[in-house]
Amino acid sequence: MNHREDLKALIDHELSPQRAKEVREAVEKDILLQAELHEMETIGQAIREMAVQPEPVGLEKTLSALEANKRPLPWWNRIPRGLTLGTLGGVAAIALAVVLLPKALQRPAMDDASADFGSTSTVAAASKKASVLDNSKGAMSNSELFAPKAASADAPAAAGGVMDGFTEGKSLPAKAADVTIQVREIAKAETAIRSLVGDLKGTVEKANVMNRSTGQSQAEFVIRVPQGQLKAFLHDVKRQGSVIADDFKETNIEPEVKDLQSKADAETKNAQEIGEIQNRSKVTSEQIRLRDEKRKAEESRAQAQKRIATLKSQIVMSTVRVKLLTDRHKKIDPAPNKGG
Amino acid sequence: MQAVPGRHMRGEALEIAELARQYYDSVYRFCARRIGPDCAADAAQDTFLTAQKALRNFRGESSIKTWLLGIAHNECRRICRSRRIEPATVPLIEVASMDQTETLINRRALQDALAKLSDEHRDVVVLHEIEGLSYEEISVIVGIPEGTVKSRLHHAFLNLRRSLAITTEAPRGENR
Repeated sequence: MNHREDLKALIDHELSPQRAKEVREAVEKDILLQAELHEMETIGQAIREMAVQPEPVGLEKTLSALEANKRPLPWWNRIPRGLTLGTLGGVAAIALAVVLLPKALQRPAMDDASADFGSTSTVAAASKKASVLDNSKGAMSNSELFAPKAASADAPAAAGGVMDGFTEGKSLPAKAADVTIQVREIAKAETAIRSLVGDLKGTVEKANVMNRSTGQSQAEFVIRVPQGQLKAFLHDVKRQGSVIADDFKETNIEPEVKDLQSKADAETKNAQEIGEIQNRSKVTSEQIRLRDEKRKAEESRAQAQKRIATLKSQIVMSTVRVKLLTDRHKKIDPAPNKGG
Repeated sequence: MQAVPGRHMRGEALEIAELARQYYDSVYRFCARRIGPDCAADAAQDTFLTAQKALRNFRGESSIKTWLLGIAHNECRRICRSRRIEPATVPLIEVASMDQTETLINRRALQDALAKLSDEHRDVVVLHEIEGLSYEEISVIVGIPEGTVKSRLHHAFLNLRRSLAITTEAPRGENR
């Protein structure tokens, strides 16, 4: 084996003990190797001693940038300085018109949630259009003004309105999608997807990006978007690369919610009855047993109500799992590169 | 004390600021030796902004410094491309120093020899000799196998020896 190629690694103590011993023995026997070893040591030492030591500047600026980047600015700080009073007046007029329309915009929002996946509501389209216009101008997001109640990021709070429709007998399916896309660059696709999510008032609930530093990576995201915006979102997400897998699920939650509601009601009644018996009982051990039973009934009711709330939120916000793969992902070669 | 990222999600901003205070100097110097002092502050800032976004994904498979330098490596490459910076022109050796006569190797000759190296070879020389990183750490930062790091260092030193024209017959140690 060529000992010359391992001279530098010998100096750097990066050889295995066995190999280091072999190379050291070879060096002791060969005067040329000794000379080369000495030269390498001299050059390395010179580089270390003579290297420039730049004086760091800009730490405070970086800390300020990190602080500013910590959370997005409130919307009033995002209004461009050049925005005129006329534009603001126009926005205010539109907002007023939306508020004054008697429930007209709420019904399409609910209809959209119950409609076929292929359709898009007028309100949602208007929201999307407004959002696109805002992006092109860099202005304040008007989609907040246009967005239907169901499109609020605060899903549980908004769910009540939708569930009013549910109790009236409307079938409101929960929708979910799984998409796997092959992209050129994970980082670019991630940025685009996060931007889309922001535009549509959605949230990224989970993000898992692997091997970002090597560029050979994959990423998985769990995203919640308003159900009315699901179609537009999926359309734009699929444009980030070539679609490898695409799965769409639609579940009618009505039977499960009804069952859960019955269970919650029964447990409420049960807890009340146990409480009354407990109050009448004069035996301590019996009181303790009844207290435990009552607690179990209340826990069971709370679980049912929690599950109902989750299901309600699924009507409002659809879950989308997006998996991104790079075309380099399959080409990871663990074998060391021999080339210099 | 070394801050541990990823442990407190809500304390992210606090942690990244802590990391910046702890590692800014190392990152800045690393960038300055790659793309020059004029752009180093920008590269260092971009490094920490990227780290801020990626902090939750840091798994602790490498040291924090190695992780940050890996990001800095990518930021430097990006800035090199966008601002058309030639890494070979970045001074690595303190040429202005007065003690030239006291060393075996001439400072300017060493700077010229380093400038003649390919970018890949110069990278590993800087990372190992100046930054003091191990072969394993370099392999993580640059994204190449350890064997390639070893090979590149060997060839880089071969080229340096040729450029410096140090002959084996020349007397050694007399000026040291």
